[in-house]
Parts: sequence; structure tokens; C-alpha cells
Amino acid sequence: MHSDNRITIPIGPQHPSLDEPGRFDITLEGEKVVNAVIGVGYNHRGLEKTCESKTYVQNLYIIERVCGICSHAHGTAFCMAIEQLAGVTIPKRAEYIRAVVAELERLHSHLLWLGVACHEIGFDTMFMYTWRNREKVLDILADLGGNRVNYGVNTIGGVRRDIDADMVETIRKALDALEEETKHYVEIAYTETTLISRLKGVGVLSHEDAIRYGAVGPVARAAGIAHDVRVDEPYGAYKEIPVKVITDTHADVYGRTVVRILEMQESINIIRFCLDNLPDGPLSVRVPRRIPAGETIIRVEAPRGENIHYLRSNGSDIPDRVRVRAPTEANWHGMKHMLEGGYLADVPITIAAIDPCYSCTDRAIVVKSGAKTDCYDWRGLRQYGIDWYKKRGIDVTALKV
Amino acid sequence: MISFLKMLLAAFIFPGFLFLSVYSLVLDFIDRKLYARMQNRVGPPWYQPVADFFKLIGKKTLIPVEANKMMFRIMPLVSLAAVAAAFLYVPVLGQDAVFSFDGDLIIVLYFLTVPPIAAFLAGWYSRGVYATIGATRILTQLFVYEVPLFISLLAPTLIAGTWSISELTAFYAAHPLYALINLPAAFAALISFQCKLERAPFDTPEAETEIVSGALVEYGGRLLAFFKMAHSCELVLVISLFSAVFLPFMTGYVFADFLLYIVKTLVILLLLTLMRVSMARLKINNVVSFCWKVLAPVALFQVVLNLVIRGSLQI
Amino acid sequence: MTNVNLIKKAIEWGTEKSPWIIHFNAGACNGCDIETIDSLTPRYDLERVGILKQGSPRHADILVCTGAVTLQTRDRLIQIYEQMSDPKFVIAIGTCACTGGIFEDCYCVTGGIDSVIPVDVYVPGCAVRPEAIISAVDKLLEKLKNAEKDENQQKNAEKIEEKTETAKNGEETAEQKEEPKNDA
Repeated sequence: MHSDNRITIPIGPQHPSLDEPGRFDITLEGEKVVNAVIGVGYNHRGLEKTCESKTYVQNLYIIERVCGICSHAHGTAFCMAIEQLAGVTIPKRAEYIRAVVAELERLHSHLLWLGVACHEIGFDTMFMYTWRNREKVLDILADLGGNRVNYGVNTIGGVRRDIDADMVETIRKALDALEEETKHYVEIAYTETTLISRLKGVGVLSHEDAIRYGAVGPVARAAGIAHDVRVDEPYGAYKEIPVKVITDTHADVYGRTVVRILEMQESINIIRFCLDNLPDGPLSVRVPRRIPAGETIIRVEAPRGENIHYLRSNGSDIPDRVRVRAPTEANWHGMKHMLEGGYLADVPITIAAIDPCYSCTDRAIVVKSGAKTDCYDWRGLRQYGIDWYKKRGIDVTALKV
Repeated sequence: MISFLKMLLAAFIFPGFLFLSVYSLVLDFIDRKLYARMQNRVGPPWYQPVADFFKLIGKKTLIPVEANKMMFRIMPLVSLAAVAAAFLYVPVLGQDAVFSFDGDLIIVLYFLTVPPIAAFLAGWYSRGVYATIGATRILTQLFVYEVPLFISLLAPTLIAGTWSISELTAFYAAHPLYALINLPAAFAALISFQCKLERAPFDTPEAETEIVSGALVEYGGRLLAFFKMAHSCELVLVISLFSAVFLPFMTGYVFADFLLYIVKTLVILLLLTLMRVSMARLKINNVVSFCWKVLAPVALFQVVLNLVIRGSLQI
Repeated sequence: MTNVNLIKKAIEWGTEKSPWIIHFNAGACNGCDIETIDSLTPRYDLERVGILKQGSPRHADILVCTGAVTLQTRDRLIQIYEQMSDPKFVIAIGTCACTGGIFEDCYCVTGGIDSVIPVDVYVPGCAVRPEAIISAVDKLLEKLKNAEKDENQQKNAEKIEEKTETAKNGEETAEQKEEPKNDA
């Protein structure tokens, strides 16, 4: 597709740089990107609607499979929502085990990301090394939960599996080895010239832009915004665990890399703290089948950022409405700004730097007004919002669709 | 008559086309095995390049509707023919190549520009978006590394006083100390050759995560088999040329020289693979600035140095 | 053995020893994808059997597919399958790819991979362990030695024509509209 020197490349649903299907129409002038159109939605499976016709216990399995990499974060949020509506408090040991698994998930997710990012910039050796080290974390998770991916440690009312003394020893040994390797990655991130030249100055999202576009997670923390749900609104065992919020000032892909590597070190410290202070007690409490009517919002810190779950129940054993707002959904908005003005060679690494999880993102929005039901896409919803505010006399001239 | 048959034997069997093909399979395997081992993996078995070739031969050839059929089909063979012809001028068995004349270094360098241009035309006539961008990147890279490559390969000839590769090798084999003077040119030539072969960190023309496979994205089957074969043969040619110009240690006995040739090529392959394993891919503007700001000055410095030495030592 | 037979045998041997894969996610949660890519990393290293991950469908022999096929990705999946040249094979990885899994009755999921393109090997699991993927590749390589390979290709080609026809007819009469996600 040629028109006056410009060429449009479809980085389409199937591309070696994408693990999941998503579409990017990049308009180039030479090697510079002048326009980027982002299309997500290929992974929309309609699971929120399915949740409205299955019981809470069945829904736990569905919600855990929203995403394969941050499945524990989704499962935790869902269980916390149900437990809050049912008015039960889960045992302390269960909270600590949930925290240990959450931090292990953060470790494996960041190692995965580091490998994929290095693969995007053509540095396959780092990709192989980081994924080799990630196997240690997966071994621990397989011991703990029974599966390397989609480890269903959560149950409604607590956890299913216990960490016994032998497992504590194994985890400690693996953590010591991982800590050595993380120091090695920190060194590479600060000294390897080809890596730094590919990552610095790429995909810039300044502090003001990050606030304006509503970025969350390591993307926001790399721009200097110190937001972390584990510290802002502690939940579960995080009310007692000291968590350091890692921020950086680079506000580009390099900053996000540094933030994630340092967060790996912090996760190792948190797991050690949990193992040292693991309280005794039961693993779960009984939660009734029918959850009392009500609605609640739960926020947890997934590896990619702030994960919000909304749950509304109507007194039966089938939920009324489940809504998942994954962190990647918030990070997409700044993507067009990050891509334009850069080079084609920077497109894969910029997209990879927000750690996108398309299957987390693809939820539909239904707006009910009266008896008519509409289904809006991103642009339509934005226009709807703009019209709504215009009708109430608020100045919207600065906004454009 | 006998000498004509001998020449045919030398050109097509040993050390000609058949030797080139077989040795390219060997070097391809060693490269992949080293690459895998350095990444802490096991790597493919020894027959892997042969299996790849036969598998690709057996696949059905699909040509896109918008592509120019004739150019699409011819380009792999053009690439292979240029490399095979150039190999006949590089000394393998001892210090005499199959053919040689004064000026064949220039001819070999010209033949070496044909594979990138064939890949460019292949991508251009495939008429896909990724192919076009890959093709343009091939040409951009060609323009920037050709200058340091030519200069650094012609610098040793200033001392030797000849433009024939065989005589160049003979001269430096007789005076090995002069080969040490050419170290800066060797450095520039090694990196320029990595650019020519489009291997990491200079593999932006076929950046897998950006433009899928670059110029060869629409190729499959038999035509891809020949392109890959041309690429492996280009590796052998490049390494042989480098060892003939910069590492000319010879003993005088033909069989020992052949073994020495194998050893030299393996050492150079190790260096090239080390470069490939330990660096990330450079962007095209970084490649351009690196070639103009680092490689070209080093090569020019070598030319000046060689002129000074030739003048002062009255060679 | 005549020359032609020798070349044919060499090609069959080559096809068995050098299977190049292309990976496509047709609507999966990502769990099976990361395990698929994991099998190329040092612990499992599928390059030992000659497997290379390619980017372009034209360079690959085996399509490794994960996920329950959503309506949005169905056309692209068919396009990729058609771009691959014969002989080609499909591995469906994960329970969602085999039958649709827990998303089987969702409103925009057509089902497993075999509702769209013919599948050669099914690998159940959620998520599939890399050892199971290696075992699946092994079984597929056994199948590659099969002498009725050519007949299977013919049957596959007919099956996919049938499926595209029914898909087209289904579109005209279906009440549900596809989610318009391709034009953001």
C-alpha cells in the first residue's frame, strides 16, 4: 500500500514478534513511523458472559485462564472478591502462601519478559539464558501447585496446597541461585553497549504523559510514578510485608527493563520474608455456596500492574456480573504515542516493553440505556463519553476522538 | 586434452563446486552447533544441513500472484552461480587457485556483490511489504560496508605489489612478518564480512521480529533451498578469501597446506560465531554510522600505513 | 533402486529430520504458547531433532496452533494454512485447541482447531508440558514416515475446501454478528 512515499505495514495477527494475535497497522516514511493504528480483540473469548451462567467454583477455573502468565493474580482477586462479599476472613497462613505464589509469579513473569524483550532486539543468547533460569522458578511452582503454568493454588476461602519444611528448603536454595543470576542481569543491563543502544530513548512515555494516559505497573514506575497496589492499598499478607516500590527516571524502554530487573530482586526478598515468618494454622475456611447480594471491587498488583476485578452477586450461587480490568488494558492507551516518531526497528520492542497480554485485555464493554443494548468499541465509547459531558455543558474542546 | 579434463575436474569437483557445497554443509553445521553450545543448548545433529536441503527440495513451490515469475525463479541461481564462480579464484589446495590472473581479487569482490543484489531483486520482485523493506535494507547496508571492505582487502596488495589472490598468498607466505602489518585491515575486513553475510549484529535486513524474513519472505521450497545453499557457500567463500589474504601461513606441501586451510577456516568461523552470539541486533542507522565512523577510517589508516611502509622499505 | 526413487527417499528422510515450525495463537490464554516456546530453550531444546521456529508460513512445514479458535482469528488461520506449501501438518496444542476446552460454548468461539483446518496431532493438557510437546513431535515424525502421506494431503485439501464452503454459508445465515475488532 503506497501513497506519496508512505507505506503501511500490517504487523498482523501472526507475526514472529507476537506471541498472541493483535494487529498493528504501522505507516512508515522510510524507516520512521508516522502513524500507528492498534487493533486488539482477537483473543476475546466472551468469558465474562460465560461467568454469568456458571457457579462461583466453576468460574474460578475460567478466571484463572484469563491469562496464562498472571493466572494467580486473577485467581487471587476473584477469590478475594467472593470472600469479601461472603464476609469471611481467610487464615493467615493462606494469605502468606498466596503472597509467596504471587511473588514467584512475578519472578517468572519478569524473567519471561526479559527473555522475550531480548529476543525482540535480536539478542537470542540472553533469551536462552533467562528462560533457562526461569525453569528453576517453574520447578518450585510445579512442586507447590502441581502445574508449571496455571497452578491453581487458590480456592475460595484460602489455598489448596501447603508449603512444608522440605519445600521451604528447596525454595530457599533456588532463591539463592536466582539471586546470583539476577545480579548478573543487573550488570548486563548497566554495561552491555548493544543492548543499551537498542533500549535507551526508545518508546518514551514521560511522567506527564504516563499520568495522562493512565499507565500502570512497571510502565508507570519507569516514568517516576511510585504507584504499587501492594503499598498504596495493601491486601492479604502485604499488610505485614515490607515492600519497596522500585522507580526509575528514564521513562523509556530502558527504564522499564531496569525496573523489572530490580523488582525481581525485591520479589526474592519478599519471598524470603514470607518463608521466615510463615504462620501456622489451617489452609482454608468454608465459604457458603450462595454468596450474599452485593458488589465489590478488588485491586491486586499483578506482574504487569494494577489488576481490578469487579463482582456483583445476587444472593444465588451464580454471579450476576464479573468484570476484569487487566493492567494491559490501561497501558495500551499510551502505545500510539510511544510508537509514533520512532523507527520501524523499535516497534517490536516498544510493544513488548509494556509486557502486553492480549488475552487479559480483550473484554467487551456493554452500555445499557433503557431497553436498548449497544456494544461499543474504544472509539465509540470515547465519543459517547464526550457527548455525555458536552450535554452537561462541560468544555470538551481539548479532547479529540 | 588431459589438462582440459584436469581443469574440469578441478572446477567442478575438487576444489570446485562439489567441494564448495560439501564444505558449506560442514561449516553450516559447525556454526549452528557452536551457536547452540554457547547458548547452553545441545544443538542439531551433524546431518542437519543436508536434511534441511532435501526437505526444502521436496516442497511444492508456491509463487505469489503479484510477483514477477521469471525474476522470482532466477535469483537463487544467479546468487549461487556468482559464489561458485568466485570460489574458483581463491586458493584452497596450496597457494594456487584453480584459475588466477592479475586482477582476480577485484573480480572476486565484484562477484561477492552479486548475492546481496540478487536478494534485493528477489525481495523487490516479490512485491510484498516486508519483502520491499527487507530489500531496501539490504541495499542500504551494501552501500555502507562495501567501501571499508574494498579498501581493507586492497590494502595488503599495496605491499605485495599484485592484484592476484594466488600471488598475494604466495608473497605473504614467503614474508610472513609483513602479514602482521595488515592487522587493522583484518579487523575491518572481518567485521565487514559479517555485514555482508547479514549475520548478527548486522542482520537487520532479515530481522525476524520486525520484517519476518525480509527479502525472502515469500520464498519456499526449491528456490529457498538454493538461496540458503548460496548463503552457506558465500560463508565458505568469505572465510577462504579472508584466510588467503590475511592468514597466509603455508608449508609448501600440498596436503599439509590443505589441512592448514581447514584449520584456518575453522578459527575464522569461531570468531564470526562469537560475534553472532554475543551481541544484539543493530538498527540500520547504527550500522551506517558504525561503518562510516569506525570501519572506513580504520581501513583508510591501513592504506596510508601500507603506502608509508612500501615507500620507506622500497619493496 | 532407480535414481528417482533415491531422490524420493532422500526427500522423505529430509522431511522427517528437519521439521520447521510456525507458531500461531488462535485465541489462547497464552499458557500453552509459553510452554511451546519453552521447548526451544536450553532445558528441552527441540533443535536437537532439527526443529527451527520460522516467521513466515512459506518457510514452515508444521503449524503449531494453540487456543480455542475465536471468530476474529478464524480467517487468518485459514490464510496461514493455505500459505504453507505441501507437505504440511498441524499440531493442536492444549485442551482449548483440541475441543474448545472451557470456552467451548462461548459466543464467539468456533471450537477447537479442527473446526477450521484439519489437524494431525492433538495434545491435551492445560497447560501442555514441554515433555508432552516433544512426545507429540515424535508421534508426528512417525506419521511423516507414513507411505500414505500423499493420499492424506489430498484428503486434507478436500476437507479444507468443504470447511471454507460451510463457513461461508454459515456466515450468511447466522444471526450473531462478528465483533468488529479489526478496525480500531
